[in-house]
Amino acid sequence: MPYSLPHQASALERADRQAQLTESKQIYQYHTRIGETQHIRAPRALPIGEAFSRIEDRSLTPPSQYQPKLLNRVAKLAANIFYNSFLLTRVAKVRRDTLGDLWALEDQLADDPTMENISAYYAQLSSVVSESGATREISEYLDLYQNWSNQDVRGQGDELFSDAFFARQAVAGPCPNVIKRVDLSLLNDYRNSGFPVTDDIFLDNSPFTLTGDTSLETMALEHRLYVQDFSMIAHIPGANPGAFSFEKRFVFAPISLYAVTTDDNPRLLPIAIQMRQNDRNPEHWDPIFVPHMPNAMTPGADESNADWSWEVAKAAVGCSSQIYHEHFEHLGLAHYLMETVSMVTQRCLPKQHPVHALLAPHLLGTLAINNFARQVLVINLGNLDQYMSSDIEAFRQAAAKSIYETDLLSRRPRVDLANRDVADLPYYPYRDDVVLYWDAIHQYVQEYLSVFYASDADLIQDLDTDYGGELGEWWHELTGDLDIGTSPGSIKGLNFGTLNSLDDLTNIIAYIIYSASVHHAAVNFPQGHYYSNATICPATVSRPTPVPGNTNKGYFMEFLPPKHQAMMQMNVMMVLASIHFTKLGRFADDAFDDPRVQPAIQHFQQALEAIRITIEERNGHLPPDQQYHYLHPDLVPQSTNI
Amino acid sequence: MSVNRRFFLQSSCGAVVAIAASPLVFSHFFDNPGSSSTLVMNTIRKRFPAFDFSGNALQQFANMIVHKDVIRTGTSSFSLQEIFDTNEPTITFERYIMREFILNTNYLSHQAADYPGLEFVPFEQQQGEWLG
Repeated sequence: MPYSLPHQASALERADRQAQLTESKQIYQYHTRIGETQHIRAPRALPIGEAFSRIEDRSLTPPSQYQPKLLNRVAKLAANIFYNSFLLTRVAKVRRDTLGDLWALEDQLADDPTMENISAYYAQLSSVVSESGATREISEYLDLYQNWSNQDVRGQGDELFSDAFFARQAVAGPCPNVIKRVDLSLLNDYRNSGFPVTDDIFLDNSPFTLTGDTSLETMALEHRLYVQDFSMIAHIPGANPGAFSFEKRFVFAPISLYAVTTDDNPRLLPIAIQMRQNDRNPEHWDPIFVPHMPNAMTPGADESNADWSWEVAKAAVGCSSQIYHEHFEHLGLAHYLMETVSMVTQRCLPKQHPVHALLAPHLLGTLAINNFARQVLVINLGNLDQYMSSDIEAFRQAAAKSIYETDLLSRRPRVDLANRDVADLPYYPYRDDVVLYWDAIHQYVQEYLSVFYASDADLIQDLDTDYGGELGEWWHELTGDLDIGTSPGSIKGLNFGTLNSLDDLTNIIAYIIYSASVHHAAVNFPQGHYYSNATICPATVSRPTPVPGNTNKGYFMEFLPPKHQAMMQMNVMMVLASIHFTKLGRFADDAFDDPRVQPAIQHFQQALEAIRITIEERNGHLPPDQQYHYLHPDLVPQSTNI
Repeated sequence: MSVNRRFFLQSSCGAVVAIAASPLVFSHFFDNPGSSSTLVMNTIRKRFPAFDFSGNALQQFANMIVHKDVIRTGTSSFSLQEIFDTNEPTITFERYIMREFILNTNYLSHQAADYPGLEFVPFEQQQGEWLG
């Protein structure tokens, strides 16, 4: 059946569309408690049609099923915990009576290997080993992988201590959209607001000093000064002590300052870090850490006598990066955003509406994976509560706020990159790739919509709810505060700006498709390579700010998470990074019922092929450790489904 | 290949196991590889009575247990003295066999709709499927 706008449909068709929406609203009902506590649009219960068992990629022959892939990864997670728990209980010399409880849960897990039983087993394991989980050697974290391949996991060997590698995470890691340029004004703002950075940070053996480059002002004027500023998580408290552990967990809101070298190989390097411990008394000391301190830990140095303070500061940035990334970029701007779009689209647009058909492939699996995440990841005492430094309720609230307190269209790649003023960064593959995708998706959406909306007048009619405008209902429910349960206006509307023209609609729909596919791929899939490794990106840090120049290896090891927490962090990250389901732009033969959209689809697929060639050529000219594959078209799914 | 008690305990260092079992079981186990293989299989069948063991994966697993001769290093760096310390047993024979079975087969995926039946996959070789 060809798609149509409501005012183009016959009276009989309009009645059919309304009946469809009435039924859909019964199936896709909002969750009152989640709506009232988190102000987001979660379903009251997962509709049967959205279950994992119903999810398949029909662009493949035969169709690929989702559920077996997820169960396979859950089984790997369970096996890993089985294996490591055995060793951890040995190290902890667990008492036999306590071990008996653990064995009962192990039996339960063996008989019924579900995430719930994995969590129960892990919780008991944590309660009996947490006091003895400290590590002595960095290699112990890499030993945790076992049945997961750690071959491509970053931060091993010399990378662990490499400042160049640390800086590359800011432009090619899981959280590549925080870095921004520091101009003179911002530099002065920092200096006047508790970050008193001066040219004294350039020590004698700094690579900048060695090339005669020791002025922050000069760097700022030459567009060579950049920062990752995690002040946005300053309000998130640490878990104290957090689920199944006896240690206070710390949250830092660090400022990490970088500069680009002027030698033959221009590259980004960190030059200063202020850790900014969240629960620190603001009147107390908050030192600035710098690289190249005398006796600083470097590859080949005497580990037991070296100063590890710079490494601690870098690990704090890795932890804060992960906390910010997980609640804002990942859970918020991918999962919660797409859950909202999925609910609103199912409730307000009939299948004959062209916007419904356009969005449908990009909604596949989102409600199911969010439901799964609520049950095991972000629930109280769930996985994140067990291994992440932040308080879990504050984490959830921050994730929800990320979608209703953000000017969402300011996150369109070209706008976001311009706001961060990062055009001059010499190496920034994330930037280079997302612009290509944005242009391709925007063009696709524009071409598709133009088939159905001949002019703005068609849009205005479709927005007019008094005359049956379905898109108007969709827009109202997406952006307006909704009354559910007992709290009027309890679900917050999303800020997509205004919708008055086809250009507006194109930007909104393109941003939604971009978020479901490219944005989620960029922030999700690097997690296995980076965030699984607690030595570079600890999800929990267990010690306060150390003393610059006087911090030993023991402090660094205690700063990193206990081994049982690192084990869960690693496993969850590996599961999330290991399922690529569907490919952007590859649709099932019957995905669209209207042949008029085929030219738009073909042009989109051609654009994606051009992106493939560009990325492969770019990577072909880069050394292996700088190649950026996360946005290769083969690795970008259609939807947020893991 | 004969398996004596010392060899078995050394071979089990990979899983860091201290075995609490009767001398009778041990003598039966270590003196005859054929019967030890049977013992392993019977132990698993007893632990998972409702599971479908058709195929030869269970036999392959039992063979691996009997012939296991790899002492893993790294995290599992415990002294034999610790392992021999039966005053502080951390695992029973049955539990050791169950754990090794779970780790070295695809048993944990048995709830998947397309489960192919039991397959023997050594734990160290389960590192693939990175890209999903």
